[in-house]
Amino acid sequence: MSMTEKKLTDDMFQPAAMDPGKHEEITKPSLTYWQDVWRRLKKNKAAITGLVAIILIVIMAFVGPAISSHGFDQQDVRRTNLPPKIPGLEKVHFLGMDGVDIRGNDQYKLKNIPKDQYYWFGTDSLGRDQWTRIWKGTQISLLIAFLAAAGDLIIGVTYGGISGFFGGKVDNIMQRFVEILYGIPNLVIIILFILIFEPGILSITLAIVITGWIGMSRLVRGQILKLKGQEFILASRTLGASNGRLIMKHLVPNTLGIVIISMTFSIPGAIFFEAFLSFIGLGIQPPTASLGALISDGFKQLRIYPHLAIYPSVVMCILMVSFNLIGDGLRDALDPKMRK
Amino acid sequence: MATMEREKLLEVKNLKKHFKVDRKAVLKAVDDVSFDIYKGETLGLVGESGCGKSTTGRTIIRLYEATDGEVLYEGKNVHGKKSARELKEFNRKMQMIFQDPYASLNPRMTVKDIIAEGIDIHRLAKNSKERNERVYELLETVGLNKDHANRYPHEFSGGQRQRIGIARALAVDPDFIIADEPISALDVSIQAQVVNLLMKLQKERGLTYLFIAHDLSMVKHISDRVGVMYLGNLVELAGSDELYEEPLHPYTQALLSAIPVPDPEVERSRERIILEGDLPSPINPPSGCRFRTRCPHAMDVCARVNPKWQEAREGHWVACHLYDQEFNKEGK
Ligand SMILES: Nc1ncnc2c1ncn2[C@@H]1O[C@H](COP(=O)(O)OP(=O)(O)O)[C@@H](O)[C@H]1O
Ligand SMILES: [Mg+2]
Repeated sequence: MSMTEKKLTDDMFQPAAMDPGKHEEITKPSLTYWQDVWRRLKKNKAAITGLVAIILIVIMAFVGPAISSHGFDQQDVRRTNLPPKIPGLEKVHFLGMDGVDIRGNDQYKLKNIPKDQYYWFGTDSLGRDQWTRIWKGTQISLLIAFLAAAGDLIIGVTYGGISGFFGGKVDNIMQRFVEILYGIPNLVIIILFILIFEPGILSITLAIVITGWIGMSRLVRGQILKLKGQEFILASRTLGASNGRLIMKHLVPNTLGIVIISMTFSIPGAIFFEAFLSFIGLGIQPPTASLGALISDGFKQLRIYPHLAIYPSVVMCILMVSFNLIGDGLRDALDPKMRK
Repeated sequence: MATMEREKLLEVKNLKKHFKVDRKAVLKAVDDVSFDIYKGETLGLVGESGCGKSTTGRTIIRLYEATDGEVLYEGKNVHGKKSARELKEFNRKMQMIFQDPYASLNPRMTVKDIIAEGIDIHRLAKNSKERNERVYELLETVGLNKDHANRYPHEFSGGQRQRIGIARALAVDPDFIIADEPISALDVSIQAQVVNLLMKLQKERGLTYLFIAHDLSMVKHISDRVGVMYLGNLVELAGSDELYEEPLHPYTQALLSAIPVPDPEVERSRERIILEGDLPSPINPPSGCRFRTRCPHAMDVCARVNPKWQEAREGHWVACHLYDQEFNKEGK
């Protein structure tokens, strides 16, 4: 193609008609920040999978014990260590849901259990229904985790917020205190704490919170310190904004994002820590169960009755992975640098 | 300078702002600066980045506590203890426009709420309808339209954001505005738009500006008078034409010589003054005259004595020993 074939002359061009008011127009639909975050989070398949999994587990934690015909603390010494047996699935032998243990004996037949009696996840060494106990345990684990996260949130945000906002001497003193607390190995504090107070939901939660809030407070303090020097805060101050207004309108909305991200990571942390406490014998005491306590019990008989450790472990793994997936997804969705 | 009988709006007297950097070191960001701003004028303030321009502006508007010296606004001291009512009154008279169009708007607020912040704080609207109307009016004043009110800052360009910042400042009807490098973060094509807007507003509303910039050529265009800062000190202050045609201080001369001239003939033969050495640290500034380490005319006395801030000619202030009879007998 050569240019000589078709000459381009000036009269072939015409300025496009333009409305001078138009060029400042924005056509994109207006989204609030949180709508925008949700839009981006929805695109993240891993985070949505995690969210769905958590919702399902939470529902099961409440519905699960109700749909089983056995109570979580109902013992029956004639029916101990039964393998899982699920109606329907019992015909598919390789699934291991047929009531046959790892040595190939049908325990249900050996122990003369009526044909219509099923223990979906088997029973433990005291003959308690594992299905009911797992979902009860999930309830307890989630409760501890949410309480601990809420405690971290309340103490951490308040402490970090005050320290960062007022700065100067106040900040100095508050940070020295944190450093001292941080310097003591937290396991020592927690173990002492639980030895003094009886192990229970509340004392375990408090033990997790007693050092857990530090991370949150540091995060919030850093964010507030960063925000405090930003020009929109200065602008608000030159307009005469009160401290209350600065906090409610400017600082809190801009700190919420990182607080939520930090919460989604502190929940699995608390679940894990509770499990760890159970493992060293400082966790929830029987007959109440938590996922950690169940795994710890099952672990002792892992080679004979693997089902006792496997099912609670699976639930716990799904929970932890899901919370981490959501946390990652939220971090990406909240990061303004990812904005398109 | 519009009128001859000029009324002082703002007097800055021996203002100092020192920051404690650590236990020992003190950073003298602004060290003994004095100048006046007259009603209705634009005073330009120029100097390299880090020389204390923003700190001066922020101390004047009370964002920073002054270490020493005073700022009088209409004869009243700005600093010191104030009742809440006095403070509010003062906040309405003096406003600020910021440098970074991205950091100066809260990303979580709509444009409407950003602009209405002053209206809310000072209760300038009786109901939400009046509030909306004022916001729309302000948006129009700065060249945006009211469809923008419900959007968030990230949807706007730098120039548009800067206009939003201007509208926010105007919402409380100020008399005096400190503009801290309002255009230096913008594209060159947008800079003129914002400057023209500021000049239009000045004409319409009789505003007084302290216009901070690091670029001399733009400042000349909009300022009536220009002050030049170096390392926390004001070194020269004069009417902008006089300053550009007859700069007295060697630092001003060097700054001016760096501006390219549009005429290629002149540009080719133009002599440039290249400053030697680096900008000294404000934590440990040179003794005597702070500019002496880079000054082509430095004398012995410069290391020993602080140059006096004096009026070398009428309305032309300079701090340099070259113009001090006591140290430079033959004069210059
Ligand atoms: N809040 C502060 N704390 C400590 N030092 C500061 C603070 N603000 C500014 N400075 C220092 O004061 C000097 C002047 O800064 P600034 O007024 O921002 O300069 P400019 O606006 O002229 O670029 C710089 O050396 C800067 O590092
Ligand atoms: Mg600056």
